Amino acid sequence: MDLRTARRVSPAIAAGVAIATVATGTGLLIAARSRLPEPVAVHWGPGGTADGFQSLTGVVGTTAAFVLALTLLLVGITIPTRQPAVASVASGTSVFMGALMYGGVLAQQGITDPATAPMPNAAMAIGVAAGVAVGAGHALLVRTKPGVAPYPRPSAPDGAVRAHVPGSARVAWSGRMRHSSGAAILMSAVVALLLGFAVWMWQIDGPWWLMLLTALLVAATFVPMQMSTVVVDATGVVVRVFGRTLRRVELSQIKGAQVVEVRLLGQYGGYGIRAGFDGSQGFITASGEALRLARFDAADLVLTVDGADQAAAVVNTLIDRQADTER
Amino acid sequence: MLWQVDPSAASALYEQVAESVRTAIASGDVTKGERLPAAKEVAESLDINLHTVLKAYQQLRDEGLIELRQGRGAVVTGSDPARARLRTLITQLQAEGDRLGMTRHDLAQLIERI
Repeated sequence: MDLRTARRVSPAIAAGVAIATVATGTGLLIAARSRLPEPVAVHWGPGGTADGFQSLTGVVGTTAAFVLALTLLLVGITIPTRQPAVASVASGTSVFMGALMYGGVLAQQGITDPATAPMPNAAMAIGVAAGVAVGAGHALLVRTKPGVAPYPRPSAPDGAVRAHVPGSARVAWSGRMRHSSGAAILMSAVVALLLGFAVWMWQIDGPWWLMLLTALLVAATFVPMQMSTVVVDATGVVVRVFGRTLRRVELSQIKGAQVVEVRLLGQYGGYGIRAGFDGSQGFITASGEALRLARFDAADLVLTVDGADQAAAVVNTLIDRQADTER
Repeated sequence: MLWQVDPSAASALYEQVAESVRTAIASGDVTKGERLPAAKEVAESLDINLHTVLKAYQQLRDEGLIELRQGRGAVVTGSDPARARLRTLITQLQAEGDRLGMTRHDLAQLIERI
């Protein structure tokens, strides 16, 4: 799919998934209404006992409004990023919330006293799995092929920084993603807190596995990013972690490189592989200087590396050499 | 850090790879404790033979600038590449002097006269 089409289609897919989730859930609730208690349990306390109740009609209306409003909000937030795949978060979230809320009520079929309704652990697990699957499917559907330079390719932009090396020299650059001690402390605290919650929930028979899964996900995002390395050579730019390629951008896909200053929270909303509010994609590990790669028919890619000025110079020099060989 | 080799230059390729590391250490682009890229990665990026890079790493190890650790690769341990390079040259001079049957005193006198 080309980028322009993907940008138009992706929010529509998210909206379609939300509407389908609400329609399916509402239909299932209506079909099951004769077997459900009235009111139904909609909230459970820390001990797993139902302590909030609502009429079935209220649940239908509230859930529909919540899922649709949440989708609208998430799609609205992601539109400035101009990256089609980001709206897949809205799809995944609406499926998760729908499975949790509708599934939690449907699990009460055959129960006469809603106070005895069990905590919807199964609905939660199914919601997580389904949400991830639908979100991933959405992202794959709107995946775009990166553009490449026209032939003969243009040189790097005028005024772009370049490396002062002889024309006969082979040149490459290697570096690491910048470490942020502040982010390390914060992430460690978040993981510790989640693990603490997991232990507490296990003791009160709550969904401890959800807290544990979240803690593992946070750690799995943070640790590899801290260990990532970046290499620039005649083939392009590659981000590697533990020897495996995380991301590769071919030299022919890059228009030019520059050094920019980034703000982790203000521009990218946080740590990790992020969509920037300026439409860029980022591998963001800290605030400060970063290498920004302008690409053909794709969002700019930003990497928070030390020595970004040297990296940008090498990229632009290699682009010039590629342009020279094509003339 | 910048890696740079020029096949048309007079010095050997492995020496140029080693010089890239010395320059990076001297400028602070790489610091003590930092791991260098794997030799295979450097060789692929510069389109040179793996053994050329390995020889460069071994030279830097002999100069005391890096350590080659099983499972960890090449780790920077030194911070004075100029002095490390001088030590290597002196070692080579002493070896050549020994080959010619010269004493340390003879070598020192030769240096004084030149």
